Amino acid sequence: MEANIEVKKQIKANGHVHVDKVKGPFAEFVERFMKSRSAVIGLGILIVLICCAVFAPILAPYNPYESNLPIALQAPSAEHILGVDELGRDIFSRILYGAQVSLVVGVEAVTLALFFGILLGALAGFYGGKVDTAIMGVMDVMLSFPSILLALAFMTVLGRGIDKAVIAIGIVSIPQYARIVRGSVLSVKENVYVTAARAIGNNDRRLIFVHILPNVLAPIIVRSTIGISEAILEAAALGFLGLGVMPPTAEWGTMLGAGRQTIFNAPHIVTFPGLAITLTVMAFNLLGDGLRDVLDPRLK
Amino acid sequence: MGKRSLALLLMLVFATSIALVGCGGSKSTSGANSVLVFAQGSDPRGLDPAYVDDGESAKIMMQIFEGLVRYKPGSTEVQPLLATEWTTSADGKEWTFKLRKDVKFHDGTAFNAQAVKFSIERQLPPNRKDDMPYAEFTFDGITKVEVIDDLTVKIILEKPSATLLANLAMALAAPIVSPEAVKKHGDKFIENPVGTGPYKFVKWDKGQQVELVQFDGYWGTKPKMAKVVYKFTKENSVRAADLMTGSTDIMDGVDINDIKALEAKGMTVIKTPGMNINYMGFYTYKKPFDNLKLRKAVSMAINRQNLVDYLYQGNAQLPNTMLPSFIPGYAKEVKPYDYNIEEAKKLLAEAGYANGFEFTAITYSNPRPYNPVNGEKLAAAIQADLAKIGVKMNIKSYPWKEYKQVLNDGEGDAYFYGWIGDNGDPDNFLMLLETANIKGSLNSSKYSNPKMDELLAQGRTTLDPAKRVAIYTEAQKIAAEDAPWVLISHSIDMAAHRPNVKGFALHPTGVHWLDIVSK
Repeated sequence: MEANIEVKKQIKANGHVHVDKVKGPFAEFVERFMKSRSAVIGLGILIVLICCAVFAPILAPYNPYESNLPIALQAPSAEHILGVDELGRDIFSRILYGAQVSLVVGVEAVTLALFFGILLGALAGFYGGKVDTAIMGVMDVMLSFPSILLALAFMTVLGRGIDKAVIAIGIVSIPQYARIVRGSVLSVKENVYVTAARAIGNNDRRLIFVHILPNVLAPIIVRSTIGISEAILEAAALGFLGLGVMPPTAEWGTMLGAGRQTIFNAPHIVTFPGLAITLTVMAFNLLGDGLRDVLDPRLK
Repeated sequence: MGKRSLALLLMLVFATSIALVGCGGSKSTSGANSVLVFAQGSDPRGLDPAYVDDGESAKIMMQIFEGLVRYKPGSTEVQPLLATEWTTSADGKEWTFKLRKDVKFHDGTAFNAQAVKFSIERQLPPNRKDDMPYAEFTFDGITKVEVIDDLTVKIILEKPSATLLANLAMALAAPIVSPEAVKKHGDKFIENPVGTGPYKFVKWDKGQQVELVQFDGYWGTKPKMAKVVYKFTKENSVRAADLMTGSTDIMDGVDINDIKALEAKGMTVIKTPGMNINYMGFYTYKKPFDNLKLRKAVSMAINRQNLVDYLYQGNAQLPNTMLPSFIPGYAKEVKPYDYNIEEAKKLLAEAGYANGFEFTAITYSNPRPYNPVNGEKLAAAIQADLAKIGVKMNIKSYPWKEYKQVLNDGEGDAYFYGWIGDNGDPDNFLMLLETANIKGSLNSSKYSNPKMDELLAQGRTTLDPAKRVAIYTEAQKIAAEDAPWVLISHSIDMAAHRPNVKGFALHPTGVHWLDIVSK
């Protein structure tokens, strides 16, 4: 009986079955989402950030690459609202352009990690046994290194550049997704409907991708939202350590790293990129937290 | 144990620890007035002049060792030290040095002609080892050293050498070591240096400090401070903070950004022109920069004055030739291609690139003594300048070690680099444009001009200073006309000391003498 209710809930959350008398699952999701304050705030900040990134060429008051040395290190003023950096470039414009880099790195790295993480996690969880041991063994080895150290190692091999940062951060975060997916698959595959689906002759591929994976989406969505913030932070750390983008590309971590020499006589150079990173990471975390509350069936 | 006894015990522990802290404090302040603490960025690589090539070692070795001659304060001219006078044979191949009397090494060994012969000959073939980085440079052309009598020594060269005296004043390779101590310590001499200098070595705590004390048997004026400690603190800002709190007396490697704070706290910041050149080089052997007009156009598009004034915040000098102004032979009248956007555009069009072009410059991601901001920021500033004449410069940046490798491989079309002089002789800078130095990567531009090679060869064997000046002036003119490099700056060496420190000065070669310093 209990299992039955569970199945119903799963179905409801996923929208595979439409029950007329209750609200549609998407409408319900929206309603619950709007009630979660943190999710709304997070999404709000994020929308602003995405607009900044997309419309940077229109919004930026200056060319982010044009240096004007005579005004180098100048503090915020009416002309340059966030001041200028050590080469006389407008920091506000650079932060706007930097948003593009950070968001792209965050989303792409997580997409890469998700792709391999879901695949490996699903295989390990579904087949179990030797496959499980082999895959998760490798994942555990990767998890035993601090991820930034591993990312540094990858960057050293791959060389500098934004695409390489995406690859490095993406690879490093695969195990986290693999673990979550494996755990969820392990519990979902025991459900009766999976047995039923198998009984009517579905092959493994169909079982995994059509019947099991859609039901483990909730934790993955939550995890990857927070994962984006981690990826952004890691990209900034790489940039700070001088392994990020090539100059003159505006990237928050690199800006932070370049400004640390002048932290005492021009603190605005490190302050604003730092704030931008904080705000973005916070927005993703809030959204992730909110989504977890919304998507967790136990909290309904 | 009852509550009360526990409380008593705790109190006892507190009281003891406070007393112990007190002890430590009083110990470190006792006699502070006779100890001078100098803070530098890192450990010396070693303290045997034959086996090191870094500035951090040179500074400390200058207190322990002395050479036959030394540089005059503030210039790279040479004056007597362990040798009191010298004569040259008519063909310039034999130099006879009269040595100072009554000089002793720290271990009691007498300083004499044998010691000079030993110090030099241990670095000449066949004794020379692969890990003696400066032996070949410093003793270039020396075939042997002859002992004439106890206080007379003759150095024999294969050809006349105009740079011999300047080389013998260097901190690397040239200082005279105690033969007895080298025999006694062998490989460990590098950690147990024994020379004739005003300070003698006491101990070296790796990663922490080197301690030196006054040498009682010193032949010259006694040093003013009884004890000197070289302390190693990696971060520039931490070193500055230590100085301001008074835990150190002198520091070098001052960060441009700490100057204001240091001066506000009453510290004295010393700025001396450094013996270096910071430049952007073109690969003159391949397209596109084998074209002189293009090199000229790019040179004229770079606002060098702005770089000096704002990127280096005025803490650098605008060069007109690759030689710093204090080096003999520096030619004031030589003019490089100066900032002129209109002319640059015209030249660009004449070179066949009216619509601009694109090239790649490689650079380094870390600060260097000649470029305290770092190669990346310098490149980005120049990139913006070039964009104004429609030239797109792509930047590829590498960490220092990797950078030297890719530079050696000739990656890109242009590169950022610099040079720190060794002996204060003009040849030491201009030879970077010699054809012979293409191999071995000193001449990374692979610039080759037979006229330049001829002048350099002449300069090396000409002993008359006036004639040498004429030769090197000519060489500097050629270098300016051919523009293989864009000369960005001579960086300024900086040190800071507490207000009560007297007599401290930085020498252009990067070293200093602490025996004349007091506080």
